[in-house]
Amino acid sequence: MAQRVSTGIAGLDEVLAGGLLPGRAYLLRGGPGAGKTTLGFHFLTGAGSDGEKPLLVTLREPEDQMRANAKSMGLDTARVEFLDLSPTSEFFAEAEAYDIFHPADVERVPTTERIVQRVEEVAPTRIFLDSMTQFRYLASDAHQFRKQVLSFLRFLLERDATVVFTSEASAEAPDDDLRFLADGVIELEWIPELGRTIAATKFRGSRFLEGRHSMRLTDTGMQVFPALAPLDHTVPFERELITSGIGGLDDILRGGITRGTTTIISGPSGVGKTSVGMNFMKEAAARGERSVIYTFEEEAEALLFRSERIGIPVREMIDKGTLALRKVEPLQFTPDEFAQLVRREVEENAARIVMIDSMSGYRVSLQGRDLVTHLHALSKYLQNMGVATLLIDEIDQAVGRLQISGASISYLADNVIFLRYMEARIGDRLELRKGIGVLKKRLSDFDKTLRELVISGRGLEVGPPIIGLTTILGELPVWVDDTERSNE
Amino acid sequence: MADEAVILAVNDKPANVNVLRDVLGRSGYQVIGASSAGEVETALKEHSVGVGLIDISGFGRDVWAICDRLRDEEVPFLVISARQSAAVEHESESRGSAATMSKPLGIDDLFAFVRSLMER
Repeated sequence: MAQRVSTGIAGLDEVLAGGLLPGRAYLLRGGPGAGKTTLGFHFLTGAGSDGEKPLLVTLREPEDQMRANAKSMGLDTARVEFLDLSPTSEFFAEAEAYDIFHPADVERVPTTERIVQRVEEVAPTRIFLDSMTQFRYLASDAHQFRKQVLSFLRFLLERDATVVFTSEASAEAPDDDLRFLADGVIELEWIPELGRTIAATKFRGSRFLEGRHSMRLTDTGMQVFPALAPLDHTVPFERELITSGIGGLDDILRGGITRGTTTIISGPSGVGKTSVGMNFMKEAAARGERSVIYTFEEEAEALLFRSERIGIPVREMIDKGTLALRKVEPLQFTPDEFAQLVRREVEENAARIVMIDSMSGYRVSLQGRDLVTHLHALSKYLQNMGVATLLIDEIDQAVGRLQISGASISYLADNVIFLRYMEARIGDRLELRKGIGVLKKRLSDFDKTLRELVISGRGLEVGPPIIGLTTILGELPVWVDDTERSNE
Repeated sequence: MADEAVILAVNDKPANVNVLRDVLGRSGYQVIGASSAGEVETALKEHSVGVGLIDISGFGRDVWAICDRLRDEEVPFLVISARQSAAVEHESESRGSAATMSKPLGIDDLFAFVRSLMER
């Protein structure tokens, strides 16, 4: 198995199943400002390049400008050799141009000689060339160009270098020929609603993560967020039950929910869905396990306040590292970036319960389309990693026929816990109460009765099966109770 | 050096003379530029001219007199024109040119021509 050459960007190495293959030539395409040069800097200065000799051949920007740009991103080009073939100001200032020869013919030989000489001097193992398109202007025709590029690449590769070269494709100079010649092609593209993306569209000799991945250019360079490929990630784990700590709820769940399953907690606004989820986390914290909540609508402080009032020691849990609460601002992340955040929590911080509150917030807050597919991939990943996923799903109607889910994602769920409002006719009084039940539970049996849920300063309590209900799933459940029910 | 044959480039653009000097100089040829009949005379006097490259574009009909002069001195020459023209070819041939070429010249073609004439 060949040793891979790191691109200097962790997320991109992941897309390329470890990095570039050594001794090959790769084409980097993208429009102006797409980030080609930034990627080049990472490639030449990135990790794993110790003991390597990087060479940057520039036909566009002068050396000092490029060094300054790299420095402003915190990338150190001290060990990078440069070959500056960029047009000098003298070229412009020359009063007359010659017309006796074609400039391409005149400049090609000295340019080639300079490159050969520099390459032989430096003996580079990594070369970034920006851009190959400029060579087109040194060739008399397309056939010549192709021959020149091929032989140039062969010259470089014969010296055991890994080469990344850029192209500035345009309508009058399409770069199909360069794509054929390269061993791999990386594309930088801006997609509406998604923003910057990076994709490998060709990569001979290796598998790679297909499709477009989110990318960001920041003042520290380029970051790549590979789309989640759930099948690539599994760990062995014990399929044990985790409890909510709420006696009645654990009863109807016949013990609890299983690790590595996805549970939808569904119900109208204010009924207590998040609170139910947090009880699983409280139990997990007592076991020393970490949980993470991603809240899309509610502010973190508000959620913390509410939770403390129902007896969940959130601040203590946060201090101990058994709870992390992350508010996600709208349009802050692309789905790929969000997925990478979750991965870090799971893989680096050993999170074992992840809550997304709520799914409509998730849909509205993340950029891009096709979020159901992303959520599906994320759920599958979390399942494979043995994480219990809690998806909070808000139903629009406070009353009415039971809906499992507003988002048509119920197929994602292994378990569905539903909450709803009920009318209780106690004697001649009518009260609004809360009901909780289990609609679906893979992997084990469950209790099909509806129970009353009471939320107070003591926490959450789930009572015995309600008797005298006229309906569970239909319009507002009503029960008639002839005996006085004491208010706890 | 004075007895080594030089190439005489008759051209009204110094940039053309410079690039000829660069390109032909790579193979060790020395190029002398001239942009008038007077400068041609000086060059003929001071150097042993092996080949003439006469770029007629930019000159009037008086450039043909330069061709006559080179023929008198038995210096083989190439006529270079801005574009291909049967009339120019005819005129150039009748003045005794070794060949007529239009711009831009192929570097290899020019080299082949110069080499063959300089070796005589």
